[in-house]
Amino acid sequence: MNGFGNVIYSNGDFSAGIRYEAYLNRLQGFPEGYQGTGITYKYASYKVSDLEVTIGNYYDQFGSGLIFRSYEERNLGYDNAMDGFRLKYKFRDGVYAKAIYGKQRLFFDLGEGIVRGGDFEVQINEAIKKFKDAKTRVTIGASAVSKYQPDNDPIYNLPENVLASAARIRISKGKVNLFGEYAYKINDPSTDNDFIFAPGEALLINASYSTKGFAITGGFKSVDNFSFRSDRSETLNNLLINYIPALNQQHTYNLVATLYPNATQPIGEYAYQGEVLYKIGRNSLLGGKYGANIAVNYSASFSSSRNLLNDETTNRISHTNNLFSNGQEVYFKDFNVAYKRKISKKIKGIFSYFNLVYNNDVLVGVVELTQPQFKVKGKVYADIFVADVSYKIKRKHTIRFEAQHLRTNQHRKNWATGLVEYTVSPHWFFALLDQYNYGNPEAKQRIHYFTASMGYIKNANRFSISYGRQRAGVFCVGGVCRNVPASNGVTLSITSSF
Amino acid sequence: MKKNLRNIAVVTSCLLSFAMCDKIDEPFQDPSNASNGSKKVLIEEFTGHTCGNCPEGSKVLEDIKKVLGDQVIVLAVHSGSFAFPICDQGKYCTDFRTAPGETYLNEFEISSYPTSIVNRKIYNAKIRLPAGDWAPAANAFLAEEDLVDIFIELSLDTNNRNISVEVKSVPLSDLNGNFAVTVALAEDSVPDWQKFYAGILGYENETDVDNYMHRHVFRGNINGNYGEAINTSVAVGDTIYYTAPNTNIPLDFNLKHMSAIAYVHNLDTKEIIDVEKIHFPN
Repeated sequence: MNGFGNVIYSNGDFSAGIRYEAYLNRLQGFPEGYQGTGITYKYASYKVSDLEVTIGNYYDQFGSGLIFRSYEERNLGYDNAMDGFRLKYKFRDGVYAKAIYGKQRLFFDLGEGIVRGGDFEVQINEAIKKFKDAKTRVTIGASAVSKYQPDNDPIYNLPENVLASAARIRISKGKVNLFGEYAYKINDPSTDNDFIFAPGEALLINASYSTKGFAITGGFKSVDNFSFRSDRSETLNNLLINYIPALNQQHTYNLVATLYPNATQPIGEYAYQGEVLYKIGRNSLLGGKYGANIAVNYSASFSSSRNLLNDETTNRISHTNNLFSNGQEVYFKDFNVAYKRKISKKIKGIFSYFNLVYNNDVLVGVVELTQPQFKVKGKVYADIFVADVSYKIKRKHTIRFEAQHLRTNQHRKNWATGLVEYTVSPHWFFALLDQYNYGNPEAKQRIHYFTASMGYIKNANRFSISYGRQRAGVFCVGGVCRNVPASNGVTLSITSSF
Repeated sequence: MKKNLRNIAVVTSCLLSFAMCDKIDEPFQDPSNASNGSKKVLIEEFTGHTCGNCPEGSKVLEDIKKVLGDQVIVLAVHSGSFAFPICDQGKYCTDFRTAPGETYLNEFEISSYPTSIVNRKIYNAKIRLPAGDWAPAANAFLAEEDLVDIFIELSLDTNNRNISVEVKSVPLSDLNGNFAVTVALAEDSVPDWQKFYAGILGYENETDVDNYMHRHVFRGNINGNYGEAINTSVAVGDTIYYTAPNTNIPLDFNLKHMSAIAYVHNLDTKEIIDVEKIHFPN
């Protein structure tokens, strides 16, 4: 049983709150550190003119999070809340600074390391009168984060203070938006990087253009040796100070999202993404009577481009890196097209195709421990088709169907998924989902993974119950793996706010 | 203007105070800084032949032994699903698992590999330690007070592969609590299959390596999962005698690579207070 409750009090410029969490026992697949109960989040915050002070716990981020992001992702059991204090100060319109100091949450404890940092941001058009009405809007920012952890290692001479710094710029003019951030970190030997003393670098660029009925976006990311934790020996999702986004579309359809999920590689990755959205006009061949939308997305990620130094027993710098070229190894590729169309007054449909290349040696999303016949070496190539059709029966009553098919010659081969969802808005929903591994080479492994769920939502209360069969899997992050056993079970979820 | 200057000063001093960073030119410690007392620590590493990240852990252990030498005693506890004998086309058929190993796996809730416990004791608020903590934890525990000295006498009858082990424990200060002695067996350098994930120790792709040298393989205990209780109400400096049951060594264990490891542990806290190791006589 996992449960939590927030109590927040606010009065004018003052607010305070606590969160209570209980894991009795934790849900299957949750990290083992979540066991027991406790107050895991407590804070008080007040504002005096341009200064805001927070003591206790807080979430925050600098820029895109490349050197600092404190956040929670409840479903994954991820929470690296800061515990300390934070100051936010507005010097004048458009000129802001933040300072943070504290330790990070590690389940029901705090990590050993201390994290301190500052961020400074200038929104040029707000700050400088002359540019107030300029069409080009520019924001620049700079940040620095230093972590402290004592060095008790008998083998290595480890840096007790590690500094990461970053600079960013955002420019927008009319329909064009550009964002770029570059971050650098000095030597930070850790379990993640096998205690090498090389500096780390990360570069993130996003650009977009959008106009009526048409949008194009592009993203670029290049990362080398940029895992940043407040405890150098930690692994998995524990005590991460920063956040490096995965540069691919986040999928929601079951077969696409869960079987071969991409994972960001802080140790080294070179990735790009492009997307085009186009609205097809009414009364055309593809647009039909009501018009249609088409989206094409492509992303690819590779190893970083390293030049090895072979100095393991001397300087342990390990390598140099070229941010602007990719390594030989393909980690992930995703090409997908979605066609969304209103077919009649009552029927809407989304038809999608996905083509995935998944490097299981690196992403280690599918490890079959006890059934070697299904283990994957190298890459998985998968084609997935999804038809998602909803039909409005009458006012407030909608039924939605999903048919999904995954074809691959690797791993457990072909899958089919069907979903029926009946919604009585705004209160009720009922859904049946079946994931069927019909193509499994072994007849007895052609298993139906069936889930039935229903829910009731009223005002801020939400109740849902589901029963289903969970696939076994291995969850790996940065060189450490954890087993999640197969299970059958009932999940009851109650969310309430008042 | 004055206000602006003050603002700039505030920002600059803030940034400077955060700009704390240590650039390291000499990555290796001077080995003479390491502890060198009579105390020893036990590192129990949870591992398995299909755990592709685990060879990295084994390498960390060898690096630790290079610096801390025989003060560190290692047991590689092959256990859990990564140690399952999957027997895939003749690979990974050996069952390295042991009954006590599976017990410890559950007892200490090990689910991430490689993970070690050092003296079954909490270090930095953690009992399950990732590889980066093994050396600092071992070093920290070595610097603690030595509570007991352990001496092992082992005789081996090579004809019927039978061993008898006597453990003598000498308290160096008063031992309050319930204590036991456990005698474990280890076999070193066992050639067998081991998986390497891509990027581990120079392997570019996931690789199944034949004749990988499995070091410090835990081969089970000769006196139960948690040993046998001893009476520690003796004067400091006196000897507590414990004789373990005579045991036959299975035929597939190489006697030349076998050793016995005895440790004294607190039955209430589970912590190991000292450990000793002896090789089988040649």
